Amino acid sequence: MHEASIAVELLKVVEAQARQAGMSRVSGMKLRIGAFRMVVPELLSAAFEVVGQGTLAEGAEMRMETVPLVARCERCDEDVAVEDYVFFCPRCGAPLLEILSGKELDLVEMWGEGGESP
Amino acid sequence: MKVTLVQDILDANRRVSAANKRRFDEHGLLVLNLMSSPGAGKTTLLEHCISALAGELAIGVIEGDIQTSLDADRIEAAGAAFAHQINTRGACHIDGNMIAPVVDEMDLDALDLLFVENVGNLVCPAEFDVGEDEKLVLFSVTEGDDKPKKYPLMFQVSGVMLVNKIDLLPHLDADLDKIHAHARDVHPDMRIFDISCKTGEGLDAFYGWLREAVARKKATRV
Repeated sequence: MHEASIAVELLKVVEAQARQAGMSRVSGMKLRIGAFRMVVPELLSAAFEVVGQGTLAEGAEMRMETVPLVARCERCDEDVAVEDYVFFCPRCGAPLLEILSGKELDLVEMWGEGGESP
Repeated sequence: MKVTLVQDILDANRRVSAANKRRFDEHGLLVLNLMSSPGAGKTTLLEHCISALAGELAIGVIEGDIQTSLDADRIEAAGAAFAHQINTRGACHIDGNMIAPVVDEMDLDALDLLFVENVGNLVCPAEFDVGEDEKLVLFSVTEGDDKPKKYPLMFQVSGVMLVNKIDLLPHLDADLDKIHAHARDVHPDMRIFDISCKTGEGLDAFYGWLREAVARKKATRV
């Protein structure tokens, strides 16, 4: 249930960014979440619904996009999709020590009322 | 209106943790974030480290628990140079914000090594840095050899794994080789120590690693 912890951090970011943009209400947001974060979208939405109560992001819609877990194989000199969290290259068996994507936990878009369009 | 941005959700914590780390770095103080399931033996391991390295390394511990100061009491009784209990009052992990005020109160020069004993949990603590040099995961053989596969992020972010309670292996179906293999699947260059806090087996190797890591960190002090 780390979704609750993430929701608390997300709210901080949403509030700060909304303030900065001069928004009075956030009605929706888009997140980009790496597969390795193992976030359950429904749980994150439910958690945000709770922590967002009484804030300018109360009831905000959440859209989530999952980023696949990809690592670099030095030996093949190629990017490989990591399956089942096994960090060895499926082609040559070399250890995959550099993660290229899949650990994202990013807020990439927010919409709502107030503020001026850039 | 619509705002397009790329903002790391955990950035607030990462920033506070980076500030904590800068302060530790200024003093050449090695900080280790110790994580595990509840009951794997974190506090017992720390008690052993403190008494075995007494007179050699001044060890401080920041204890994180949802409730009670039982662990800090044990750490203090073991002879730690510094012990502080954080009660998270429900939160399932320690983060950078929680330890920043504790760091304010500490004499960082009086310590050689600071452990942050996280809340017992294999999930959330993996997401939140505190300002550590290294994350350590303590795993006990009674937890079942499949756990590194079930909690991959925890075993991927931890550079060191300690496998505790190996004295119990003869009584269990758990297979030490499997535990190692599963951990290395998610973290191929994981440093592994097999230990028993009950019999003391394997602890000397870990103490040796601690001594070297402390010396390495001190050498970076400018």
